[in-house]
Amino acid sequence: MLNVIAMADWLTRISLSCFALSYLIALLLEISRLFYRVSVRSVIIFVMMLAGIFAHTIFLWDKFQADFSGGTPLASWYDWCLVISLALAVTYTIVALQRVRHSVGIFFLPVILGLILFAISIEDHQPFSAQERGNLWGMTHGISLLAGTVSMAIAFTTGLMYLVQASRLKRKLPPRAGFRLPSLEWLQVCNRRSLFLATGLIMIGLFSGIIMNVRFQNDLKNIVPWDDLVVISSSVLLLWLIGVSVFEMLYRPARQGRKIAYLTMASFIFLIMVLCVVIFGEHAETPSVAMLLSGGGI
Amino acid sequence: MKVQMIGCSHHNTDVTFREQLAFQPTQAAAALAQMRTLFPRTEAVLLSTCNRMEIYTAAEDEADCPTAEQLINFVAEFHGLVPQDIAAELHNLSGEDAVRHLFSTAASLNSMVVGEAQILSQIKQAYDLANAGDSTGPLTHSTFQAAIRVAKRVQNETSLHEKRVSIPSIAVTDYASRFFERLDDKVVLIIGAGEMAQETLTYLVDKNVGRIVIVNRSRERAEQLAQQTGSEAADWDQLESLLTEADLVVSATAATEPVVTGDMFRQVVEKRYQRPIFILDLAVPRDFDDAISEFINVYLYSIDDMQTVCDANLAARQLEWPKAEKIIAEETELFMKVLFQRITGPWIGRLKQQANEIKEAELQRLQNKLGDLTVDPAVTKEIEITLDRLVNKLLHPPLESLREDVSPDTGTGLLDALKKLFQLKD
Repeated sequence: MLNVIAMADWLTRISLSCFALSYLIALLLEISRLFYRVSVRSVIIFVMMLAGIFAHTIFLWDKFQADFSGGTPLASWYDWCLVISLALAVTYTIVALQRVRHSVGIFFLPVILGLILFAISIEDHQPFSAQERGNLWGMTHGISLLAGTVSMAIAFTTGLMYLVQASRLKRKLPPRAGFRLPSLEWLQVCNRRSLFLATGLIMIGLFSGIIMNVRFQNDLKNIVPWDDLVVISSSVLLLWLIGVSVFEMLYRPARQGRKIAYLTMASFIFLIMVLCVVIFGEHAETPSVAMLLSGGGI
Repeated sequence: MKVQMIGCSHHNTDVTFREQLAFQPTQAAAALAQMRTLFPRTEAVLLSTCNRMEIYTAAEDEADCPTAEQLINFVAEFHGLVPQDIAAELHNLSGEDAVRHLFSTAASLNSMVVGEAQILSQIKQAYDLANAGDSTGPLTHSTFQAAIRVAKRVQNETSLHEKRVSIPSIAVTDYASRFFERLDDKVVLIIGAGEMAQETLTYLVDKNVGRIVIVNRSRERAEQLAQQTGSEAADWDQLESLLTEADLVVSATAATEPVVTGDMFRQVVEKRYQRPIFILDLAVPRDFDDAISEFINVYLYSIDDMQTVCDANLAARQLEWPKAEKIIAEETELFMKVLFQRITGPWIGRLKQQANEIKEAELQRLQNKLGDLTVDPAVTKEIEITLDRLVNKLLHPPLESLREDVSPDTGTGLLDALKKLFQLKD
């Protein structure tokens, strides 16, 4: 019994630095591939990632439980960034397990660590309001945008890998023992699918936000004005993503090769810009927007 | 006991000479049958590949084994050559040297492309052929089975076989995998039907490619190759449409001018809608105009582009060489020790049997002398036990020395002495 209590106490002491450090060690090990061969490296990377994911999950679970008693759980940009980084860490671990010899970590881990650093930088930001926490549209809005961002981050990473691999192959560089990337075909398929998925999810997220706003038309305190910068930029982002997807589907040359990778990367940068507008703009601080984000719209 | 090898390889002879001495499978079977008639108590295995011709012979009794001269005469006569013309080019190894040579050859250390796996299957085929013709025996069985085992050990314990060093194998295995995740849904176009195309095809067939089309100026040759590899042949004038369809192109014609020009490929590119294409131009001079590599999503590689990888892999293999040689040395020593111990077994048995026969005869003589005297059966039993102990105690020291001393280093001198001293016969 005492052991269980001690264990529970130990788990509550897991901090953000625990999993950030695990991911950092995994990244350093991935980078070391470029310089020398060690037979057990992949095993150590895998163990580090598992330890990191475990600590990351416990950390978020503790936060979820703490938030749940006092308000909306995981309802801040800080929490969102950590959830996205956890989803990417899990994705990377699965990919790394299937492709032990490939250097996918060099591309995934900086994004994961970048998101954690970004989360730290916005930790003091106003959390989303607890209002409307049970609202179905609000939940749909939040989860869709979260999943869409994860999918877009994966599309970005695989797109970047595609461009690096395509460039190496075009320049006829010989395969390098410490820097193997997945095949062009695999990267292209992952890139396309992630882009389509992200477009679909972000579309659902934005439409559910619009529906939320329409539902609050009579509540002037909570409504987001239609000419709000976030609403406009989000709409432009959605139109851009739809445009990219339609272009990719209808224009056959765009279906292959570097064009789609460039477009995906541009889409990711666009998404980051919109999120920055949301996070750092005045809009995010207003109660109405906070409410919409926690269970409303952007 | 004698194990010997006589033959030649790419190390010390040119291809013209090897061609003269090469045995096709049917010829090899006939040669083994002839050897069985000429040297009935000799075991033989004949290994004949593009790079080597080697005849391994073995016999329990050295006198039964043909001499090197007899084997040279046999080879010369079989191919209608003059023995003196080939004798100087053939090398002869016996005993431990012959065994070490076989182990090294099976492990691909003596191959032109060190680490290639083909030689092991060729050795297995040669051994199977000799088995089928009843030319093998206990010595060749143990030697060739050990060679196969040693080759596998070298394969498992070193990375000698991991790095590919032939252009077609690197092209298909190392480069194609950087473009394609799978090949079972891809269309591969082979332009040309020469040796290089043929070798590339063997690797592609192993990769289970969805569809392979061979196009050659001589349709007949393309069809012949297609039939051998389970692929399909097409007419030369279909080249442009096939290029539009293909995901991977391997070109290895003997043409002196580019087969595919920039202008011709521009039309292909338009129809492909920028679908990526990986072109391996293995021909010298090149079959594809260099300007083709400028097109979007066209990855054109020439033989020179892959040569760097070939050289790097070869260098990496050289690093593994000492490890492989150490394994061969260990295994050869162990094998020779076991082999020598094994040949003493039947003679030890024969000596014991001879001693037992003497004992039984003496026991019988004693019983006859005693005649009608009633002897307690317990006493008879005791006499028999005493005689057994006497025989065993007398034989134990020489047999123990024989077991310990007969080795590759000391030879079979002690065994020969024992055979003479005790007048042991076959």
